[in-house]
This record gives sequence, structure tokens and C-alpha cells, in this order.
Amino acid sequence: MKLIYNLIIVLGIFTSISCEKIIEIDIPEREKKMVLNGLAKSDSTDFYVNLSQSISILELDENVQKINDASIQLLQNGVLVGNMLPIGNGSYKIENIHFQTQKPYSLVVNHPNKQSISAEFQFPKKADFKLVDTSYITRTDYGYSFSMFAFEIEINDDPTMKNFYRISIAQRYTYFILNNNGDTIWYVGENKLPLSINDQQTNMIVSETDYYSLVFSDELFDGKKYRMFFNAEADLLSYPDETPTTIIVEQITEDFYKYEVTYANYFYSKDNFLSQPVIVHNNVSNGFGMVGALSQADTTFLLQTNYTVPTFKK
Amino acid sequence: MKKRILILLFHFLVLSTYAQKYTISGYVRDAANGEALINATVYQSGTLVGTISNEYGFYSITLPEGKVKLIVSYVGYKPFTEEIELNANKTLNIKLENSNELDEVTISESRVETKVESSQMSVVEVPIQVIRNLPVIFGEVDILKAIQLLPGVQSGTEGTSGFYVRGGSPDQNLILLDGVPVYNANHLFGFFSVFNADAIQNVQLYKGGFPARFGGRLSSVLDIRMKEGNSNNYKVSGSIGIIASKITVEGPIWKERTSFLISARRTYLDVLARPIIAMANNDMGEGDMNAGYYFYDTNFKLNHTFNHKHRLFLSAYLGKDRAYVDSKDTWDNTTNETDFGLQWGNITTALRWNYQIDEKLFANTTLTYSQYIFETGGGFKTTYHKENREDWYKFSYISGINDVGAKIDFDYMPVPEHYVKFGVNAVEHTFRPGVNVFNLNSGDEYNIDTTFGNRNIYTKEFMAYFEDDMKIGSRVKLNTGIHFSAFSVRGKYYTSIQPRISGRYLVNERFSLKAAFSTMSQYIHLLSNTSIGMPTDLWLPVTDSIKPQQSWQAAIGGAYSLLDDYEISIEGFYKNMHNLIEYKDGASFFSINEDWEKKVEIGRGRSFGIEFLIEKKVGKTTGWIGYTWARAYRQFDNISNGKEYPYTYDRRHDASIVINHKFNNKIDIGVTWVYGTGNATTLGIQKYVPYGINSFQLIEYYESRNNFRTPAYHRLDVGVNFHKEKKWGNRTWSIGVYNAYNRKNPFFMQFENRNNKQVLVQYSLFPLIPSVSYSFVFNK
Repeated sequence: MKLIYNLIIVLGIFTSISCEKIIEIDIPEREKKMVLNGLAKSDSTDFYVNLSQSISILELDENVQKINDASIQLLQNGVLVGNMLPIGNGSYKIENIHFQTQKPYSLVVNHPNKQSISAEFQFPKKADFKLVDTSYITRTDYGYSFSMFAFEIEINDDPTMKNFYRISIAQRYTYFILNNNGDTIWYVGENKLPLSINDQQTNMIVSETDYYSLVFSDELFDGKKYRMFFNAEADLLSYPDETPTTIIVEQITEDFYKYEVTYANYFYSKDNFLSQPVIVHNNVSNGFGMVGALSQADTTFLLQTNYTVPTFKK
Repeated sequence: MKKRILILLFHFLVLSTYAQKYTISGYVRDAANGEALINATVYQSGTLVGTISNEYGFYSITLPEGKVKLIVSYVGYKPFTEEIELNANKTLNIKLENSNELDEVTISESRVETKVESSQMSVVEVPIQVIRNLPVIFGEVDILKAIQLLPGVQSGTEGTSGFYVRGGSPDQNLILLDGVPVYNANHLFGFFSVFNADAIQNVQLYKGGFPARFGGRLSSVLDIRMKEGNSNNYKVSGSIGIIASKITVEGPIWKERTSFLISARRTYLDVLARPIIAMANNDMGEGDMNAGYYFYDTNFKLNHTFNHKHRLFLSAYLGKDRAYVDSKDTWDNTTNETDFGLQWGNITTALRWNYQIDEKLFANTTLTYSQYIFETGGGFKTTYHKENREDWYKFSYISGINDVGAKIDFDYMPVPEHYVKFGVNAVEHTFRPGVNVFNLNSGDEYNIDTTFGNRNIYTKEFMAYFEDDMKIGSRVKLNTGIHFSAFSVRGKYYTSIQPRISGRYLVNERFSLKAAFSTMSQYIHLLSNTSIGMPTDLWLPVTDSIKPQQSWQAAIGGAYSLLDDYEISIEGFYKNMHNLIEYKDGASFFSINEDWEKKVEIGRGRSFGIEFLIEKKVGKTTGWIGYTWARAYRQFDNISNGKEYPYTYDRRHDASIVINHKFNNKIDIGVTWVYGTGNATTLGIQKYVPYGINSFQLIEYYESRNNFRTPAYHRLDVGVNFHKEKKWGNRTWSIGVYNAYNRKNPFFMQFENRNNKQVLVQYSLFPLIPSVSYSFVFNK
């Protein structure tokens, strides 16, 4: 038996030597590209984007270079709408803009030392939806009970096009601070509630760009009225009487939807050696990044808790 | 009844066309052990009129009345010659004697059906003796690793048994053990195959030009036949290796009527590791840990000959892998126990009845059962001794597939110009796509006992085929046929009619041109994250939304016989595949709560290439040189931006050299060298800032799926066998070296930070590995 153990040790040594080798990578050095990110909102008059530069996969320092000296033009149907102005740290802004839905917009970025890049987007129509019902449920998972609001909404999907949605729930609240003079100053704040996916809607994902949103496509209900259910985490004691609660349904561009899906897949699988690497969707020509757009529709109701069982006033 | 009338009608028509002829029929067997010899050539001397024996050694040849000189040949055996006065139908059972390769005797009239003469193309038969002599890792003879050395067949990851035929995926290979599908042919995560070479008699691989009798997979059929068991003498053989040992017992129960074979193999890594683990436990002081891994397989075959018309076979295979780790430690008044394990295995069984209906018609009826199960589970238990309380949880996951089938196949040889095969096959599949069981007991507070996951799916598959291997004149031979299949799943029905044709044109005695076309349909998919034969790979049926995989393949080529000893073949092929499935980007087996249909993409693939093979099957030196130039691509709408990308095992150049040389009866040597273009893999080339909350975590940008090639793979293996005759039988010491020049072949690669520099690190698996094994045969 001793011979066999010695043999195992010898084999173990053989196996452990030379099991790794640093190889000269033959990845052709690619030109570093400009990276443009931004999300335009139809009901906002301000539009921000961020411009930076990609780095090689072999660079250890991940402090990417922000680009502040580029010229960024916003065009509608190829006609200049305005120039975006740098505001520092790679951010650019354009103000007093009135976006129009279903009109093609583009951003063109020029830089004296870099290849020009561009991105196109078009605002979707506002979603047609209504709140159908609300309720309060207690869910038990693995022995733990959760208090949850349950919502039922009906989306009237436009049959003439592919539609992509992002949904969230916001609650307004008031708070005050005392200023230096001892005066009470009241503010209105907004909290978004964490949402959870109902099992019926399996093509929903939690947004990686806004953790309080769910993202989905009309794949399951294309062109139809569709009633969907989702839940929001609730903490009864934290709500005063009659909390204004808003259901926000945003229609997002297809590019942005694909970005949400691929980015979420990328994020969750990047350390799983069994998964194939995910190519994150990007819509910037000659560069990297995501320029998306959304149109928002919402409905607000009053949530009355009475500190016990909540009721809803539409 | 209708079928019987049709058979009789067909019989009558053919007989009426060929009057005054008589039939010689019987079995061709090995004289030493009584094993059937498959594909032995039976022909009339001085003519090209002949036939071959079937999977059970049965042959039938119909010749004109008069004096006939019949010659029967088989590679490695002395030819048999007999002169017969043919004036009535005759039964002639033939026993061929093994020839000694060292005898330089040339038998001019000996002839086996060569590649040049066969109507089939893209078929390779690898003699089991050649497989046994190949040098292999840890000295474990492996049929699938021998198959990987053939042109048109790519190996998977280093050291594994997975094989990829002409750009196809591993699930597109139909692996049959005695006609029963084997769903997971791997042990130890693919490093060994489930086939114990000691129990195997014949191995044949079809890469294209599929005969109509085969169906259900797109890319290949690997037809493995088990030995029947020595019907003349008892024989005990076995081997003792570094990681496994095996033993085979065979012999007659009733001489020349009933024989049996039982073969078993087991690894003993777990046994060898036990003292090392015990030492580790002693060093750690507190607690006990136990871990291990083993696999075993058992092959069993029993056959009984009732008379020359009826024969019954029962064959079975049972194999299992098991890996486990458990620990126990006690602190104060608390004891913690954990355990985790996984096990997987196949069971296949076939009950087969051979019925020689008459001299020309042979029937084979088979009942089959095949099962593959994967189970993983574990748990944690805390015992509070003072409180006399236990908290624990357990979980388990089970997936697999069960098949129950029945089939009947007929071989009909009306005249030497036609060899007709027809039959039907029905299978009921039960798919278990993954069930989770979770139990929790936390004192009196929480108790959970829940089962969740995908429900079993019950499906039915039906196949029928008709094929005719026909000679037209002296130069043309065609194998034409049609394969019909149907599949029912959850009220949905799929059907497919698949025409098959292959043929050869004999330019001269030494050279023939060949062409083949076949269409295939596959109703089951393998959902796999990796290509290394993981036990987690999941077999799933087609559904409403997941359609059957389909392909067509065309091939042309030629075969040339050089100096009688060498056969040279060259083939070009083009294969088109539809409805392939692939995990969506980022999806994996571990997202088990999702419906599997939502985790996959549906797409297509294509491959094309040229294969070259020169082989020598007789003489002191045998072996082959194979070379393949090929490309294989995949395209899925939602993978790699919808663009076509190279398949992971797209390998432009793939070459192998296999040489066996017998110096004398005491020493022989086997050498193999393989070379392959590096595998395609996906590597990021740049990083950039994402949009969103995590903008500080850069995204790696991949140009496309499989945009990078790992370094080329090459390896030399050498093995020497020292044989010695003993009083009790024979013994062989086998000494071998795997990866003789210690090539660091890529297993996987990743970027790492080394000395403040980002570098690509390649990990290799097997350096130079010596092996030694001892084998024996008690036969005296």
C-alpha cells in the first residue's frame, strides 16, 4: 500500500506542476472609443448625457477618462436642435428642450482626436393603462412573513408596434427641516417602493438601472389589453394617513429595453463560470454606450392605512 | 396480418424473378469463443457476388444452382473456404480462426468488404483490439477517446470523452449500447466514458450518409455492441490500474447453447483518499470530515440458442458516479453535521429475440429500457444536546430521463443484389426536467416540506424505416431508404419523413467514387452549459415552442485501396442544422426556478469540411492517419447580436496519427499524436462605463461570441504492452505516458492581476502523466 501512496504523491506533484501558464495575449490593440450614456425623458425639459473613453481589457486602473472637450449636437430629423454643454466630469446638458414623441432624434459627438460617434432614439408613445385593483397581502416565504401591497393594472397595448415598459411605484411624503433661524421649512419627497415580480409575468426583470422598477416587453400580450399583477413591499407603520401613491408606467425604447435585459444578465452571470459571457446591448455607432428614451404615464391615488389594514382611495 | 401479407407478397415477387436459385444461410462466428462476427464478408469465389453478416453474425446468400466455392473473410481472421454442391437451400454455420499478425502469409483470394466496395460512406469501424492497444490517460482504455481520433470527430475539453461530429453538438450523437440509447456516456465529469472495453465486441461510427434504420439524432450514430460471452470455454480476465480495476467473467452455461458475460469496473480514489483524509482530520483536531468520489459500471449479457432459428439475448448495463463530502463537529453541547453529495448514472437493458423466419428473412425483436438520473442533495443538522432539540434542513434536486421501447427489425436478403432492412420502433420517454425538494425543521417554529420545479413530461416516439442496399450492374451500389418518425408531446404531434441515399461507383477494383445525402430529425434536446459532459446536462423534449432539430447533410468522396493493406479515403461534407437550442446569454442550470423554455434561444448551424483518412488494418503495423479541415458555425437571433459566430468546437485543422506495432508476441507499442486548432472562446477586449447605478463597475465589451482562439492543442501518448504466457493464461504489463512531451494545453483562460499587471492566464489540466496497469486472462 505504501507504494501506491508514494505513487499518488508523485502523480500529485506531476499534476500540480505546470498547470498554469501566463500566455502572451494576442488580442489586437483596438482604438479606444468614446462612450456615450444618457436617458431622455419626454416630460423633462432638461437632458443630460455622460461622455467617457473606453479602456483596454488589460488596463488595471479602472478610473476611466471623462471627456469634457467634445462637441455634442442634438438633432431632430437631422436638423440641429441644440448643442449640449459640458458641465464637468464628462457630463453634458441641454435645457429648455421640448421633446416630441415618435420623432427621430440623434446625438452626434465630435472630438478633435477621436472618431466621431452617434446614437439615435425616438420617444415611444405614452402607455395607455389604468389601475384596476389594489389589495394588501401577507406572503410567507421559507417561514418568514412579508407585508405586501398587491396591484392589478390593465395595459392597453398598441398593436401597431413593439412596446417595452418600465413600471414603478412612488409615494410622496412631506418632511421638514429647521433652518438657521429656527423656521420650519416643509418639503415634499418621493420614495419608490421595492417591487417584486409576480410569477405569472416571467418575462419581467428587475431593472439594473433603477432597482425600484420592473422592465418587460409586450411579448406576452402584443396588441391586447393585459391585466398584470405585481407586489410592492410595505411597512404599514411608516405610512401616515392618505399617502399619495403613484403608479408610473414608462414606455421605453427597444434599445433601452435590450440594454436593461442584457445588462441584468451580464451583471448576474459575470462570475458564473458556467454561463456564456453576455454581450451588453449598445446603440452607439462607432463607440459604446446606451442612449435611450422614455415616455411616462402615471396615475395617483391615496393610500389610507389607519395604522392597521390599508384601504385605497382612487 | 397486413404486414405479413406484404412481406410474403414481396418475397414472392422477388423469388419469381430469380428462379432456380438456392440460398446458403447461417452464422459467422469466432471459432475460439463463439462470438458473432459482424460485417464478415461472404462471397462466391471468382465473382463480385457476395454479402455481409449482420449484427448477429447472420448471413444469407442466394446463388444459382450448381457447384459453388464460398469464401468467408473477416479482418484479423483466417479466411474460410468451402465448395458446395448447391441443389437445395443450405445452412452453413462458419467458425473463423484468429490469424496471427506475425504470419506474413498472403492469402490471395481473401477479401473483406473494403471502403472501396461499400455503398456506405462516412462510416468507420474501429476494431476493439486497436482500441485496447491505444495509450490512454491513467491507463484506462476508453472507446470514446479512440473515436475522437477519427477524422471528422473533434474532441472536447482536455481529457474528456465528449465528441463532436462534423460540427454537431454532443446531444446530436446517438450512442447505442446493444441498440439501447445511452444518455450520459461520461464518468467523472467526462474524463472517462461509461464503456468498459473488456465487455465490448464491436464499435462502428456513422458520421453521415446515415442508413434509414438509424434516426433520432442529427450528427452521428455510435453503434456499440457488447460481447455475447464465450460459448466454448470459461474465461476470467481483468486489469488493475492506478485508479480503477476491472474484471470480466464469461463462459458457457450450456455449451454452444447458453453463454454469459459479466464485467465490472470500479475506481478506488475514495478508498485511497481515506487515510489521507484521516490524517487531515487528526491534524485539525476537532471534528471529522469525510469525502470521496467513485464510479462503477457493470455489464451483463446472457444469451441462449433454442435452435438454429431462435435465439434470445438479455443484456444490461448499470453504472453510477458518486461524489460526497460530509463533516461532523461538536462544540460544548452542540453538534453540527453537514453533508453534500451528487450522484448520477445510467441503466440500460435490452431483451432481444432473434428469429430466422426462413433462409432469407431474419427478424430481431427487442424490448429496451434506458434510464439516466442525476441527483444532488445535502443538508445541515444542529443538535442541541441540553435542550434535546434538533434544527435541520435538507435539499435535493433530481433530473433525468427514462425510456421504455419496443422494436422489430427485419433483414431480408432475397438475392445477392439486394439487402433489404425494414422495421418499426416505438419508445415512451419520460423526461424529468428537474425537481427540487426542500425540508426545513427549526424546532417548533418553522417546518417546511416542499417540492417545486418542473413536472415530468411524458412523450411518445415512433419510427419506421425501409432501406435497400442494392447493386446495379458491376460498378454501382446504392443504399437507399426512407425513415419516418413521429413524436407526441402534451397533445402536440410532430412527424418527419427523411429520405436517405448513399452510393458508390466503382471506377476500378481499387478506386471508387461515393456520394451521400441524408436528412435527420431530432425530437430531444440537451440543455448544457458546458461541453464536458456535466451530469447537470438536461435532456428535454420538443414542445409547442421548441421545434425538432433538423438537418440535411451531403457528402462526396472517394476511396482507394493501396497495396491491399492500405485504404485511403477522402470526403467532403456540408451540413445544415435548424432549431438548435442554446442557453440564452447569462442563463445557466443554476437558475432552476425558471421555466427552461424561457432560458433557451433557438437558432441554426452549419458546418463543412474535408476529411482525409489513410488506414492499415492488417499486418504487424496497424493504425491510421487522419486529417480534417472544417468550419462550424452557429447563429441565434439574440446571441452575439444575431450574427453568425464560430461554434466552440469549430476546429479548422484536426489531425491524428495512430500507430500500433507488434514487435513479437511479447511486446507491442501504441503511439498516438493529435493536433487541433485551438477552441473558440469569448474574451472581452475593452471595458467601458455602463449607464445606470453601477457605473463604477465597468462592462467588458465582447466583440462577438467566440471571438478568440485558444492556443493549438497537441499531444503525444505512448504505451508499451509486455505480454507473457503463464501456466494459468496470459498476463500483460502496460506502461504508458500521456502527454509525453508535457505540452501545456489550454483548459481554460482568464484575465488575472499578476504583479500589478493584467495578464491572460491559461490553465492546463494534464501534464505528462505516466501510467501502469496489469491485466490478466485466465483461460487454461
